[in-house]
Amino acid sequence: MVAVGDEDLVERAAAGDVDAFEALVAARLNRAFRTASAILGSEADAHDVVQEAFVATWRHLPKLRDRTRFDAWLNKMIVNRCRDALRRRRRSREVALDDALDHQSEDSTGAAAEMAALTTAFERLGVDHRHLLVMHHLHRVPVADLARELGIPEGTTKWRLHAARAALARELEADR
Amino acid sequence: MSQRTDHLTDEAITQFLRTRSADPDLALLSGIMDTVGAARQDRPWLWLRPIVLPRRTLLIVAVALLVAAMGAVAVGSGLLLPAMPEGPFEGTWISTSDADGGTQTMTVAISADGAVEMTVRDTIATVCGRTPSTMTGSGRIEDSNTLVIPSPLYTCDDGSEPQALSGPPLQEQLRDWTLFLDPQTDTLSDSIGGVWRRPGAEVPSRTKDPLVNLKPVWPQTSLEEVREAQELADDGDPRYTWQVLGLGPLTDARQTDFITRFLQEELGWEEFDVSVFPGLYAGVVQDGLWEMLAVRCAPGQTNPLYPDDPEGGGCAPTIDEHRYETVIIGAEPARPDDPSSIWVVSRWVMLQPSDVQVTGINYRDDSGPVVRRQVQQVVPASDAEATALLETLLQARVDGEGAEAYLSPSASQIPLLYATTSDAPYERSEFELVQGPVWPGGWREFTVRLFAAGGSTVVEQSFLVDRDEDGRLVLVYGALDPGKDVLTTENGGALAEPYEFLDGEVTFAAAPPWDWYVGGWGFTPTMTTLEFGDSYQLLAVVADPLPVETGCEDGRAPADAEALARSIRSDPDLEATEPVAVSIGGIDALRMDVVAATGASVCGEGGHPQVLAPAPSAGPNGDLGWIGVGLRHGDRMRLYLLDLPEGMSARILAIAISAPEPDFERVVEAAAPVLDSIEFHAP
Repeated sequence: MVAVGDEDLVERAAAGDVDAFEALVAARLNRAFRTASAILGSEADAHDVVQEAFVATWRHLPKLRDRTRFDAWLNKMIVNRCRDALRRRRRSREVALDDALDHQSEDSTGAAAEMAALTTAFERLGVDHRHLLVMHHLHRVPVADLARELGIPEGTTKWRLHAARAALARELEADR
Repeated sequence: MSQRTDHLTDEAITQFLRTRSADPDLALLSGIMDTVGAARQDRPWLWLRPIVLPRRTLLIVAVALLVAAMGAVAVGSGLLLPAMPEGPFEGTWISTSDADGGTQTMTVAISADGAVEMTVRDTIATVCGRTPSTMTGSGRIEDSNTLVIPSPLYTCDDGSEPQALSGPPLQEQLRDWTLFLDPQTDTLSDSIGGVWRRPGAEVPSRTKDPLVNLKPVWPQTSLEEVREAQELADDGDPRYTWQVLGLGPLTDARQTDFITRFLQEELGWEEFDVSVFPGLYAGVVQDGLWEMLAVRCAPGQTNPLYPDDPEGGGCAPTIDEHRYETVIIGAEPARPDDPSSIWVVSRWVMLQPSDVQVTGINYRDDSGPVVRRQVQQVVPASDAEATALLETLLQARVDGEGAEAYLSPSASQIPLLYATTSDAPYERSEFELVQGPVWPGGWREFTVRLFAAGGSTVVEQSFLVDRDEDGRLVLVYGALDPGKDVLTTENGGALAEPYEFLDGEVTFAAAPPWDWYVGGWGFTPTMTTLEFGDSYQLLAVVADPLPVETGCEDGRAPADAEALARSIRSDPDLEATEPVAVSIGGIDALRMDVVAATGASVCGEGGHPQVLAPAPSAGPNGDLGWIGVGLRHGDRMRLYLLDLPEGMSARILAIAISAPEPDFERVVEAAAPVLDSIEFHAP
């Protein structure tokens, strides 16, 4: 869904109006960046992902048939690029990441240890599980809205959300 | 044993994600816009902004030149010629979407300095009580295809005030009224859903023409062909009625020969499979677009890797012994939401090979790296390999150690790994093949049985023999049917899983299908919610709840369970039965049934009457919205209220079981074992 009042901006942006697109970006940049940084755990990667996603959105916007689905579409752009970023990172940083995690677990205590455990568990999740948790728990998107955004039934959304949460809990347990 | 606790609360996850996320730096917006400013937009062919003048404009120019020439002659002869439009917007337009029986006529005039004046006259205006109306306004052409009227003025010709039928005031709704021109069809669509055509232009049978965005590639290849085919299909012409697929469940491509004909006639495939298996890419309908995946099978060959699979057995790969030519096809109806619409293929693409080693696990993760890649069949485990793996695992479980090495992804999720619920060690085991190998992932599904206590206790579990991402054979606790939610039974019964509440002061057990409720904010330090089957069949446990007063205000903290029961009974928004004395976990409790009263106040984003509010200590409600225990009209709630023993961290406990009336008794019955299992552990 796109916010009431933004439909016109989307139409204008699709017609090539850069100012309209800037207004759309400005209203969504913080949330997009928070989403990407929460999924990736890296501000630098989130910066690249968000920039790429918005530029791709601009380029392909004229082809977006249902302009009311702009936000859902933008979200997909961001998540897909997060997925790509995680794949690239897996190839290039596999060893370094494991080392870093080992150090983290040695040094951490108390609340910091809890946060480190959550980080380790979260980073073992796939990007779709991460995305669901971010949308629901960080951005407080209700299940019904998530379902509309993902284009899947509400029951399926709940199931996926449940699966994401269960996966996180499982990974946490696995480390205890 | 899998231990579920409420340790991982919503708040813990939220807090973690807040810590993990960040705000962008200020330079990001300018960086994006600098790039955007230099980037060209990709435009679909229908919306191409022409570099040269569109055909209609060229025609207008030619006619204008002709008219000018004729005008020069006419001046002398006294002939009066009609004025011709000078721009794509200019002139007269008739609405084709006015549903109230009136006629809306728009005239657009553009002065020499580029100023636009617009007038719309409506012979029957619903917003004026079906009397005539006039809308006027001046505006600007934003680009060659967009005209914006920032502040149109809408008046009823009889002097009355126009009344919007819904939503904001009419003037507000009309602000920045925008007309979009499709030069291909010479049609205007406006920002509130209207469609406008030139007087005398052919009007399609539908009030709005959805075809303007369709790009057919098969069997029709142009909009004109689609229009003609639709008309003939509407007349029952069998040459086109096979394209009418209805709007029902289109996710099984085998239900229609539409895809079959596409694959045979357009791609020239003799044999193919259009439903590789559920979960890979069986076909989805989204935003009116039906996408499905098909693989080509080698003609006349059987599949040596899957001789017994009903789908894959007759479908041998075409590229090499593993890989199939694979296509994704997108089809859509010419008239959305119309079951008599014909469907056309609007896109298709041959997929590329996967760049990772494909295993069964890849396929079961529908977001994984093989989705939208060529289908690649996995070499299934042989009978001997599967048997050896299972025997090794089961022997380790009987031995009491070492089973983890054969399990993926983690043994921690597998209940009763080495002993029964009563801690009886396993004495022997057996297994049987349920199905498989299943194409193309190579899975074999087994039921394993572990016997304890001289055979009087039997634990039965479901496992898949699968391959991990490195191609190594592993056992996965699971089943191929994603709807199978009971994977372990003990003596035929689903295992009750343990739950903790109030940091372990309250414990209970619930067997599937009772499960965590994920449809809302069901988890706070003082509230835990389970659902039974669906999100309308709930069991909520709430510590120190507050009554809810009319107007959705939290009531005052009650002195005890009896006071809380009195508050609920006196709430005019609720109808509650007289409390009955019962016992829960050895503690005296009050039981009452509650329904929402007619005309009850509604609270929260769910818009339902509420029964209980959370304790003030439950955390901030602000950005969470309203948390509490609510009741929909038509639902019934069984409520247990009890005073907790001295020394516990809460004084009152409420247990609410709610369900729609028709399901209520069944859900209450299913909740009985949960209530029976409740134990209190004073610190």
